[in-house]
Amino acid sequence: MSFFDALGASASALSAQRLRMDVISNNLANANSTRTQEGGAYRRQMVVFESRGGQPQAMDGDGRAAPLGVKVAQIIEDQSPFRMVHDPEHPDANAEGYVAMPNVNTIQEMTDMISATRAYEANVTVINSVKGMAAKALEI
Amino acid sequence: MLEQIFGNTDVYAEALDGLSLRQKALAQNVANVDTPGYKRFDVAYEGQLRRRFEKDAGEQSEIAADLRVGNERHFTLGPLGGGGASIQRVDRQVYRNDQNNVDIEQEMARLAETTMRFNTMATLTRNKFDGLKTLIREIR
Repeated sequence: MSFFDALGASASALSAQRLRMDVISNNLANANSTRTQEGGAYRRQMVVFESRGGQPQAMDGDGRAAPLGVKVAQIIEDQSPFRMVHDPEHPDANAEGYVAMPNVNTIQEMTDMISATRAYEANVTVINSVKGMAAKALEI
Repeated sequence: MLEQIFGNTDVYAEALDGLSLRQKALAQNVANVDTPGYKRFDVAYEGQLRRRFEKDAGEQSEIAADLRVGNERHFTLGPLGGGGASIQRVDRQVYRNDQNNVDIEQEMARLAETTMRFNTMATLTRNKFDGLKTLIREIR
């Protein structure tokens, strides 16, 4: 049904933005982790969004249109170089006394976090608006 | 006779269809506000409706042609639906580095406008049917 397409699009965006928020908080939590299971310091992770479905369809289609919205295509690792900090006392310091710290930029993560929050709020507004329209249509 | 009673309920239906398609396109746009390379969808239906009105006002015979059926005593409700709304992708107006042309403020303003228009059309439709009900009840 028509309204549910719009609701599905916004709901997919809510979960995509929430996943983005999870990744951001994971980055911030590991901003100082010098050890990972793969070995070496933690690498910053990023989500890749991909548009889902094609063109929104009118009501009188065959009712089997692809679901709209957005999906997280993959989570990739930032391949930029680690931050090298001189700390000879650190157990993970190399021969020159430098420690490879994660390539997480706290300020960048905070701005990404605000962006994700705003996008989440916008989609909640869309859902409320669609709900209002559906309720109004029931009054006819 | 019948087209005078039912008047332009089919125009209301087309307007409601067009507005809900626009709402769907807006939901898809807001969902993809952070998707790189996404181009926004736009729905135009007022133009089609206006042409339709001009046609109806211009030549009454067009309405008669729409209402023509096999037997003269049969009646129809006129051209219902008809898919007056058209959706298209807007490729120009790219101003962001990620080649995405969704402007979240514009989309939210359009969303509010679409909701208000939809509510207005739904109220008008409801009033129309209330009037018909009164007509059916009171005339004997």
